[in-house]
Amino acid sequence: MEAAASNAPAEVLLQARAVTKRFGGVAALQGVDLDIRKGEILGVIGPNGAGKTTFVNCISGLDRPTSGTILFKGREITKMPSYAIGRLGLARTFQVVKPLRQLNVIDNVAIGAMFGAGGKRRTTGQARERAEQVLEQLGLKHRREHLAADLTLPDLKRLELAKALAMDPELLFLDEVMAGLNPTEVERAMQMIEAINRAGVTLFVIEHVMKAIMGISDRIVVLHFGKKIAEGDPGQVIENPQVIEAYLGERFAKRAKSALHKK
Amino acid sequence: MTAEVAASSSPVKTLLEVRNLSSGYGEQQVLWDVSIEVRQGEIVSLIGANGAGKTTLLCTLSKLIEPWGGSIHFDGRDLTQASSDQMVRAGVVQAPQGRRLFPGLSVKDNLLQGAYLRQDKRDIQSTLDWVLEILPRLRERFNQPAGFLSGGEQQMCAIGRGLMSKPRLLAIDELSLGLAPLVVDNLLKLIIDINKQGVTVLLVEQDVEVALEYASRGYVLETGRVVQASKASELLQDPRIRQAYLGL
Repeated sequence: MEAAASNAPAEVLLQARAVTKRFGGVAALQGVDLDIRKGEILGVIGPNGAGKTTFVNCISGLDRPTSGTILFKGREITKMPSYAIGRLGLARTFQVVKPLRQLNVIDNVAIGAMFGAGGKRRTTGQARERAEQVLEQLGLKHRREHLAADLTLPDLKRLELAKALAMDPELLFLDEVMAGLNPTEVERAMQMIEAINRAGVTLFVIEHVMKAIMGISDRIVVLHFGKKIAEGDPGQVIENPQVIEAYLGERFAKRAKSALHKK
Repeated sequence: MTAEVAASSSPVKTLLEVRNLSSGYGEQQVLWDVSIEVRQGEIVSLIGANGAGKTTLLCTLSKLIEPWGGSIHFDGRDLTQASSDQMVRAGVVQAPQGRRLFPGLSVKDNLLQGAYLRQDKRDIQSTLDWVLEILPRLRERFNQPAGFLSGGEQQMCAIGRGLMSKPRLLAIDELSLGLAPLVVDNLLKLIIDINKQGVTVLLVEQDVEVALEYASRGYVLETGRVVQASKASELLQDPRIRQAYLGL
């Protein structure tokens, strides 16, 4: 019986059940069941418009699901406002970056540090200290005084990540943080994400860059027209004919396979 | 067959000729002495790291940024001093990075924005029919606000808007940005299709492998300068390019 415990499925950090979201007549999500296990990197792929971002919006309180339930650490968060969800230890980035453009980088990140799981206990001074640490960790320190409005795209993507990380999340949702990066920059971003995961943060990563998603994910979930059409380890998922047809296409399926073999 | 033979033996016309171009923002110079040319009917790729000046080059060609020095000729005309609308009238059109649609306007109205400067008002409908034929997804979304579109559909709408101007040279900034692999594949096929129908293409694309596979030639930009200009197939084989831009 003791031994069975180690084989037991990993602890579920977030549990989504039958999550449905309708916008007028359009069902963006249709009864999605999804578990995020503590400590994993869960990759999420699917065509544009499949509902990936909507799913993150529903979990982070930006959108209310039309029906279904979401439990985080066993507690129902389905109808909680975003700030309260943030306090519980959940953070996200935005695909279309949302910096406070007229503030500099350090203040943007310090604001993240004042919300989120660690925020309540912090003074502004302590929030700035936390922000400094995050900037150091993500290699953004040389930009600390720059206005967010003046940053290049890769730096804006990194700032987006820094703001979320400063919230000290247990579970972090990354929505296309690698879009627009070239292959060399993607390589660096992958290392950064793996380091965040090793430091104890569970990750839900939406990404179209196959090299990255195949390289870092423990498991992959595929959404299509608001439904989960596949779930499994990366090797299984890219062999799935439905996934190739709906999402990858033959050309990129080949490439994804070679990315996996290099891993 | 005969047409092809004739085309390949006739001298290729230079459509866009950029000589020693410099430009930048405020005090900050971004482009130094950039010279490129794009020939009629080509697909030419611009590759380089983020911050190398690719977008700045496209924006200078569109005159969203003033050139500081050098010259821009298009179809033999000196357009160095031309304004943005004159560039569009001449046939130089950009599908900008991040799509830049009007989110509150319908797909239809966004597309029609592309025809804003056209004199041949009667032919606009036939261009629109053509755009909807090659981008059928936009037909399904025709009356919806562009802000409701998915990323891939927005990119289609931005390209469609560009096509509505009847461009002779379509500059596309970051074609695959944020798009699903299959969509990228379809967009690439679309670009080939558009190109075959007579539109010359200048492509900025982070997926260098893809960018070079479809292009005839490529220019490599580094810190605002052209450091290499070759046939795309040669760039793909170049060990330095493979290491720096393909991560191989």
